[in-house]
Amino acid sequence: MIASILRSIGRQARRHPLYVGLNVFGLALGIGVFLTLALVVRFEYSFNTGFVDADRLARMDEHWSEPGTTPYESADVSFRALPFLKQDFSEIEDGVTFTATNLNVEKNGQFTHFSGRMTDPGFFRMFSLRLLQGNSDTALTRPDGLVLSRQAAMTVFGKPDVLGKTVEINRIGQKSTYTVTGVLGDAPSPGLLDNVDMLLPVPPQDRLQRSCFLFWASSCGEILLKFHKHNDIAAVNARLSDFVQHRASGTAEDQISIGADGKRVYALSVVPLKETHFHDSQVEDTANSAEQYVIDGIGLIGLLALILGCANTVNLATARAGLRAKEVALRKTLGASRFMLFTQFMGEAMVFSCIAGLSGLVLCEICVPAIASVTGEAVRINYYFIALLLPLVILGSGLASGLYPSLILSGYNPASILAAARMPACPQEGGKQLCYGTCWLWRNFLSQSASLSAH
Amino acid sequence: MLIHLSRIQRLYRSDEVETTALHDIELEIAQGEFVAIMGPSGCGKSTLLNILGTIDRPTAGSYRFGGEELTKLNEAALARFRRENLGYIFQSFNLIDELTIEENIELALVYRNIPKPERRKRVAQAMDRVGIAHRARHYPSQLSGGQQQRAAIARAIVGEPRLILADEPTGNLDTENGTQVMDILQTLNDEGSTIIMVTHSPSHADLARRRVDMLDGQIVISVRNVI
Repeated sequence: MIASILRSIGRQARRHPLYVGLNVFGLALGIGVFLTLALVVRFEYSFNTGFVDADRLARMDEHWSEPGTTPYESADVSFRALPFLKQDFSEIEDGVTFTATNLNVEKNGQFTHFSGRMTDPGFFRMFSLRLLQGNSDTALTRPDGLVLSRQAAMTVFGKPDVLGKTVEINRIGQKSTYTVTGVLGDAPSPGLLDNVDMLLPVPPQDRLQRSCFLFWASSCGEILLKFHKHNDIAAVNARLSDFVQHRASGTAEDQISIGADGKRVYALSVVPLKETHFHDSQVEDTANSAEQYVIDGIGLIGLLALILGCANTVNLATARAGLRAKEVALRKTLGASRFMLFTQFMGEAMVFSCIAGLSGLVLCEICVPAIASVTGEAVRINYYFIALLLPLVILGSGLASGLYPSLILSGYNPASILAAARMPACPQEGGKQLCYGTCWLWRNFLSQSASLSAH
Repeated sequence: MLIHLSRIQRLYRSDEVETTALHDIELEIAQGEFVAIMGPSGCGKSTLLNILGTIDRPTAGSYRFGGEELTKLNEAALARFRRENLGYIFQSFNLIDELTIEENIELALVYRNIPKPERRKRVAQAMDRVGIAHRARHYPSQLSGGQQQRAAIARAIVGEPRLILADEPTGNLDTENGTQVMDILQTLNDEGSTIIMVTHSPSHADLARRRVDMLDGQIVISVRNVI
């Protein structure tokens, strides 16, 4: 059967190269666009999903709605909340501050810029991150400890094996010497640690002097939380209003609190870390966000491209069904059953789909780097994902593009077809015009397609 | 008796019109007979042939082949019946353009699950019998009408069917090629094949052992020819 299908396709390619070419190209284009956009959508949906226990990780946001100003939500919050959060909510397993900072390293008289984050010693434990070098439990316990990404280690020292080496870092105009206590390998991406070169502990003097550690109305970075259970996030969210009233409110003269009735102008919320990428399109002080409806729209376009590719194949196969009607009638008179013919035509559709799928993958290989280059997103081909998706796409496309023509072709009445072959004009069967079976078939198909488009 | 048709009716219905193509056909054909069916256009010859070939179903009546009632069989069983018992020859040859002559003939054996070497051997024998072995690798469009019809005959006989159905097999051929085709059919009949042929040609009908005349969907005369 397989040999017969392959021979049939070989013959079609020889005798009707334009038909086969258009068929494969149309479907390959659809599959290629679908795969490419599926990778883009998967990338956008995968922010922060790579962390262990990602479902239990969240970020604290604050909401301001002062009279006379536009209400807004910010990811930068007051760090004063963190110890109270840990104290008041038993659902919280752990929590850290996470502040972006610019770092400059002087090397041979030239400054190299690095993107850094200041955080608490429990960061690696909370995110279950292991270091390539160094102890993740103690790497940020000493005030001059520094964890480098492997790339930053290569940039600064020219090698990844740099534990114990010192680096002079210029941060907001102050020079400090740090000792490398860890080298971080590939962190889950995309997400929180994208483009982060260095992690360093919050300087002790910051905890004592910096306003965001002292006052509710001051903010300078993110609070990241880990909950015991995913459902705890919603439970804590429901009680945050009372928390604000209890912890953040004070008197009108009070400098630390946010006033007598704090929860009128100030609120806190916990956003699951996996949702921050889309949520951040509404949030101030965040980077690298995306509108979910735009991403869903892109996914829909990919799906439509695939459907159009299949429709093109159905279109061509149906248009060509008339040419194959005589063959079908003949095969039936020679003893082929409807099932045999259906299997033959579905097999041909599957092989076409396979060829188009592989061609689509080649197209995807070309398109994905181009998209990454244009958008600046680190989208790349994930072959594990493709290995799971492509067989399904091939199977789905083969079924979608082959089912209708195969059912129609295998269902031809040979007597009507052979009678039509002898007649100069289209004969009738059951009130339908035949002409090798194509006139009504083609018309029906076109009318159904038009109806589908209209909807 | 190989074939027994009893009270066969075939009606075609549309929204407005009901047409009777066959009306109470009674026909018996013995093994080894060569029957010619004649009649004016629209008298039901081809419909009768289609019913005999099981590619059309009668509206009513009984069709027994070798003692087996065929009107009760489903589509799959009829397909199996066709591939095991029937060979077809058409007026317009009906060879598949994309296949070589050899492949066209082999097609009659493909659905029987016969191993490829055996198929090739039988195809070679069938081509030798009708004298087109030298055209095996050609495509139908590269052959004359007479050669195409001989290829179609080879396809009809390659499976050694119990019944050969020929629908105006000389209709598209000139006199010389028509005569050659009739010679082949006569030889096949002499060798024991049962043949039912629809024809418009009285001279070709006279070459059959029996002639059946039809008019308005009914058999009006059934006579044995003196050969």
